Order: sequence, then structure tokens, then C-alpha cells
Amino acid sequence: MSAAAVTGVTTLKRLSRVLFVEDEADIRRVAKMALERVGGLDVLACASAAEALESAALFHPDLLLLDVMMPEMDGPALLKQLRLLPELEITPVVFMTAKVQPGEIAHLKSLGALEVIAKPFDPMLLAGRLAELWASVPALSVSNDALHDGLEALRKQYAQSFDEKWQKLNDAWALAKEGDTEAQRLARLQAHTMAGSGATIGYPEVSRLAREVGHLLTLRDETGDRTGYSSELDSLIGQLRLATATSDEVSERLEYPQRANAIVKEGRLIYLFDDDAELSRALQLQLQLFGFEVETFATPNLLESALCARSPAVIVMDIMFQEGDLAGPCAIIASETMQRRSVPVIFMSGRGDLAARLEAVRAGGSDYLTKPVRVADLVERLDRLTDRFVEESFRVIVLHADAAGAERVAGMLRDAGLHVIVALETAQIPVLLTEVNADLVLMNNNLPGCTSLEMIGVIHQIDRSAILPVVLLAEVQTEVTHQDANAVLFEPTTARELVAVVAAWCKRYRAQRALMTMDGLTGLANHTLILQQLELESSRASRHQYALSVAMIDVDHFKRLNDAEGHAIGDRVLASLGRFLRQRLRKTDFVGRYGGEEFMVLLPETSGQAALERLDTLRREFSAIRHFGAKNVFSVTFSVGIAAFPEIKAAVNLATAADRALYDAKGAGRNCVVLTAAIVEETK
Amino acid sequence: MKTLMRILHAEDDPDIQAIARLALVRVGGFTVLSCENGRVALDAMEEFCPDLLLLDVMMPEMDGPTLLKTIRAGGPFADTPAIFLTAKVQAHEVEQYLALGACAVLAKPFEPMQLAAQIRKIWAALVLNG
Repeated sequence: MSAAAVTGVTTLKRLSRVLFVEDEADIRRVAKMALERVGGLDVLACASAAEALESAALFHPDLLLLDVMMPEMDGPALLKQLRLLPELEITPVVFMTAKVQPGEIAHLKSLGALEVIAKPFDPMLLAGRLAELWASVPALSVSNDALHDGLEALRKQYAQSFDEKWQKLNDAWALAKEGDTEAQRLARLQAHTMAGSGATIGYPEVSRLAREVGHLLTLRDETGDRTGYSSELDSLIGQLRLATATSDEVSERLEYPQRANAIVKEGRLIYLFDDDAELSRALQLQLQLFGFEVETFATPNLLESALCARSPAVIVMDIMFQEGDLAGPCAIIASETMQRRSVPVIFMSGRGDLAARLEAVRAGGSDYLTKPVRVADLVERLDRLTDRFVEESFRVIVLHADAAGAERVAGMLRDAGLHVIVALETAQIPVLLTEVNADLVLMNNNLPGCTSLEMIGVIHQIDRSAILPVVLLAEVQTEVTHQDANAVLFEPTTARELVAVVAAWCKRYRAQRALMTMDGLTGLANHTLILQQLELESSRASRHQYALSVAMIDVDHFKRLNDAEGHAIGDRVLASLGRFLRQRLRKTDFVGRYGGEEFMVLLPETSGQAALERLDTLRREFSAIRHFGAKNVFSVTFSVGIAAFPEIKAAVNLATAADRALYDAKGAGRNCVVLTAAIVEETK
Repeated sequence: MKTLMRILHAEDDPDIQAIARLALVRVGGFTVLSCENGRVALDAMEEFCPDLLLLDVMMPEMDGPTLLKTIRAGGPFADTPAIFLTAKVQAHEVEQYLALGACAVLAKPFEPMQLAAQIRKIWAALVLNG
């Protein structure tokens, strides 16, 4: 089973507010408590139809739960009254009754009830039942037809009452013409209202003319000219009377909005402000090599206008700090618009003293680099700020035998930005654990077929999830005796508690895994992990019969570099190469530090020839990056050996073959890429 | 921040009220309470518990800016995000609204089919920027 198949359906909106009408006090209390405590719902319980009618509109329920038999006004009659409130026109309704004859149920359903719940009912199951019913309501978006009718009705209504609106304006204008200032104010107000509503409802001509009228009335006010523009206004107001004759076609407007793009900032766009054109050009080239899109600006004005058009991910400012002078560029970033957009700013300055740094902090700088700026340092900060390697959201498997319960916790986690995979059956767990790179399992304590303790055992038996954290959701008053779960939460848990506990364990797990598999200097996969990955990729490649290339990369003359510049600089070069590879390869490629100055890259579904071309481009680009030593600026090259499956038949031998090719590359004079002979012969 | 669900709309023009309701409830799927002026909106706040305020500027009794000022002065809704939906959108006016603590300004006349999407976009940006 694929992971997608078990992911829960996201409904437009979660059930949260229930209006409950029931005349029997005991039932009212029990149901209210059950819905609140078990379901986490917001419940307004009313004792009578009158009480419900009074507070329904303000409470704005998502769902109505109505008792059928009530004195004075029964459930169906109450529903009829509630439906008259515009807020409750389409609110789903569920009835509760002890009279459960088929005829009665059919009758209630014909009134539009989602379901009829029989009394007596189990209070512990009530919330779950309602959540289920809620999930079955088709998304609240209404069909195009219904919308069309709605718009059309509003438009007609507007046209019908338009003459009245116009009369009001015209009357006020007649008095204003005679010099009545209060009437002139009223006329302006009326024109303003019509300008706002006309085009919105579908009469753009109304808005246009009314705006014009308002504009001229304002001019009359401002110039104090009691007679000015009278004939123009007469004419405009005359035209306005007939303006509802032209309207937008409703059907033309019925295009559903495109899904709003939430991310406003452009991920890799950097604005570089530097008044030294040459320096700025050089920095631009260097940053582009790391995959950033860089626009340069020489004057504050240009920067400002560009900021209106596009919002960059980061602004880099090369700036001379005059004492206390925050004019120009600093003023821009300190401006309110910028603050609201919260674009981080990195300052580069020749001064490293506290006063200058303070200025930068006060101007809202996120970071501060002293010149000469090392490109690697700048890239590192840009990486951090642009979140290029922003951790993917935590992945949580929710194991819960009850669909409504699962959806409830899944919804809470999703709202917090976590990625949730719902499993309703224990049997799905082994598959999910191997297919989904989960960070945590959240499971209900009450599983069918096995105890939660046994389930935790199963999870930890699987290699991949041997240390995966497990959080238990237990019913209140359940005795949870074993210590194998990382945390236990008691139902009903709040979203805040749930998210806090789950996120904390996910975070800890990721950190733990990173420590075990990451290379400390470069942040890349370490030797162990990359060999595991090679095994996985090569078995996938031979199983599915697709190409897999393995590239071994080695920095040229690294020992010489270390001797000349020192180990610190050498380390920085390695870190910079690691970052460079990570950024310039595809997301599906895998990069690791094989050891020392050697890196390994796995390129799935890539032929040897394609890998050769790709790596050769990277080789050329990397050699163009300038590195800054203590005294010197230098460049660094690397050599690459590539081996590819299926040319190298035994996938296991790929690493050895790539290593041999690397040796050939070194022998060929370094700073080049060599494909293993086996392939070259075949491609010839 | 939570999912945007409940919008309180203060607007005196019944035509705009009706079409905004159509745009927000039918198209957007939001729960909307429409109030005819700032005073009514203020009185309804506690019971309705809005996630977001959508405010007209010029209204009788209490206008939008006064309402926002009152709310921002303290109390349980001091941080509730507010958007102005108004025909008064000259640069200095917009600046005023933002200075009062509005998070965005939308212009009237507006496109009913796009209103919900625009508001969702603003909400998403708010969530994104904490």
C-alpha cells in the first residue's frame, strides 16, 4: 500500500462548534460534557427552541444537533426557524430522538438531516459520530450554479433598489447646489458608498461615475467654491441614473480563484546593494555559482523601487557607516514596509568595531560581515537565511483504530505544519515504516489485536525505526505501566500539548540521527551512511533496471593547500565544496563525504555520459570560485572518477570502479573528469 | 497561528455586506458575522471570537479605525489581525490604517470571486512571518 493511499482526506474545515438543543437537563449535561471532553468541541447547549433562536446567529455553529420532541416548539419546527437566519442557511443538522421508526427517520432526513441519532446513545461515542458525519458533508464550497444564482439575485436586488440610492444622491446634490454644506457632505458619502458597491456587485459603470462625482464634490469642498463644477456634476449624476443598464456578465465572473500562492518571498533571489560596481559584479558572479539569483543596485532609489516589485529572500548591503548616519539605504530597510515584510539584511562593512556593529543591529541587520568578505562565509549565511536546507516538516505516523479520533489528532498536527500519515490498521505499520521516513509514531493505546507495548516492540524491531520515538495517546484513567513509549498523552489532549510533545520528540530524533550519520565539517552524509545509500540505490537500480552513476570527487593538491594555508583554511574549502555540491546537484542526488578530501555523489537514473557532463560543468564552475586565505586569494580544482550501472554490471563494484576512474583522472593531470573505461569503450 | 475560520465583517452598506457574505461563506467556506457598524462589531466580538476582522472605514456610530484603535488598546482581541476593506485607499490613508495596526488593506470595489483567496493569502503571509 502506498503512503498516499492511507493519508486522511482533508476537509475544508474541522468541526468545532455545535449548537445543541435539548429540553431534558440530564441529557443536555451528559452530551455537552461528552462533546467537549471527548471531542474537544465548542458546545452551546440550549434548553429550548426560544433560547436557541436567540443565540444561534451569534454562536455561529458549524453543526446543529437538535432533539426532536420538545415542548412549545419541536426540533423540525425549530429547524425551519433557524434556516431563516442567513448564518444558518446551510448549516448541517443532526436530529436526536427516541422515536426511531423508519417512517419517522425518513421524515427527518427529508428535512435535510444528515443523520438521526437514536436515544439512548453512548455519550463516549457521540463526538466521534458527529465528526464522522461532518467529514461526510461535501466540501462547503457550493456549486457554480448556486453561486451564479446568488450573484444574480444580488445584482437584481441592487438594480431594483438603485433608483432609491440614486434619488438620495440626487436630493442631496440639489440642496448642495444651493450651498448647503451638510447636504454636500451627505452627497459625497452617498457617492462614496456607490463607488464601493457598484463594480463589486457587477456594475462597473456605477463605480466609475460615482467616483467621479465624489472627486468633484471633494474639489468643491477643498476650493471652497460653492458653485464650482455644477454643470459637470449635473451631467455625471444624470448619467449615473442609467448606469445599471450596463453590467458585467455574471457568468464571466464565475471563474474560481487560482489557489493563492502563500509564499511571497522568492527563495533564491538576493538583492545586492553596493556602490562599487566592480566589486558588486564580482560578488554577483560568485553567488550565482552557488545557485543564487542576484540583482545588484548602486543607488538607494533603485533598490527601493525594486523592493516594491519583488520581495527578495535576503538583502546584502555593502555600506560605509558614517557615524550616526542611517540615511539612504539604511533608512529603506528600517522603513516600516521593509520591517513588515521582514526581509533579512546582511551588512558588509570595512569597520568591525562595536559602534558600526551597533548601527547595523539598530538598522535591523540580521548579520554582519567585515570586509574583505569571504564568499564562503556569505554563502553560509545566505543558506541559513534562505532556509535552502530548511528541514522538511516532521513526518508523523498516526496509528489510531478510530477514524474520527485519528482525524482529530492528525488535524491538530497538520495545522501546526507537520506532515501526517494516518494508519487505521496495525498491519500497515511495517510497510509504512520502510516506505515513509517517519520521525515519530503517535498511537492510540487501545489497538485492536495487540497491545501498544507489543506494537512498540514491532516498531523497534525494524532496523530503520530501531530508535524511532513513539508517543502514546491514552484514555483518561487508563493505567499506562510500561516505559517503552517516549511520552504518554491523556485524552482529550489539547492541540498545544500534542504539538509541543510530538515536535520535541521529532526534533530530538532528527538531531540524534544526524549525529549518527552526518559528517561534522560539511553537514553531508558520512562514510557509513553513504555506503548504506549506495547499497540501497544500486539494489533499486538493478531491480527496476535504470541507470545509476557514482562519482568520486577528490580535491586536487589538497595537502599542498593545507601546508600553504593551514588546516583551518583547508577545512573551509572542504565545507565550501560540500555546500557547492549539495546546491548544484538535484534533490534526488545524494552527496556524502567519503573521507578526507574525497566526496561521493550518487546520481540515480543518470547514465554515465550524463553524469560526466554534469560533473564536468560543476568542475569548471567550482574552479572559478575564489577562496580567501590569510594572505592570498586562490582557487581550487578537483578531479572526478565516474562509474555507472548497468555498464558496471555488479552494482556493488561501482565504488571501486569509480575510485579507479578517479585515479586515472589524477594521472591524466588532475582537474578533469574520467568515466570508467568499460563505458567509454561501449559508447565509442 | 491557527487555521483561519471566523471572520467578523463590519460594513454599513447592505449590498456590500451581502456580496461579501457570498464571497466569504460560499466561495471561501469561512464563518462570517456581518455587523452594520463598529459599535455592533465591538459588542459582538466576545461572543463570536473572530480569527480576523474585516473592516470598512466609514460607518455610522463607530467607524473602522476607531474600532481598531479600541481593540488594539487592550483586551482579549488586542492581537486579532485586521484588514481594511475600503474605497479610501490613497497612500496616506493606507499608511494610517497600517499605523493603526491593520495587517493589510483591500480596495473597494473588489472582485467577489477573489476576495476569499486574497484574504487567505494575507493570512498565510501572517502565519509565515509569525
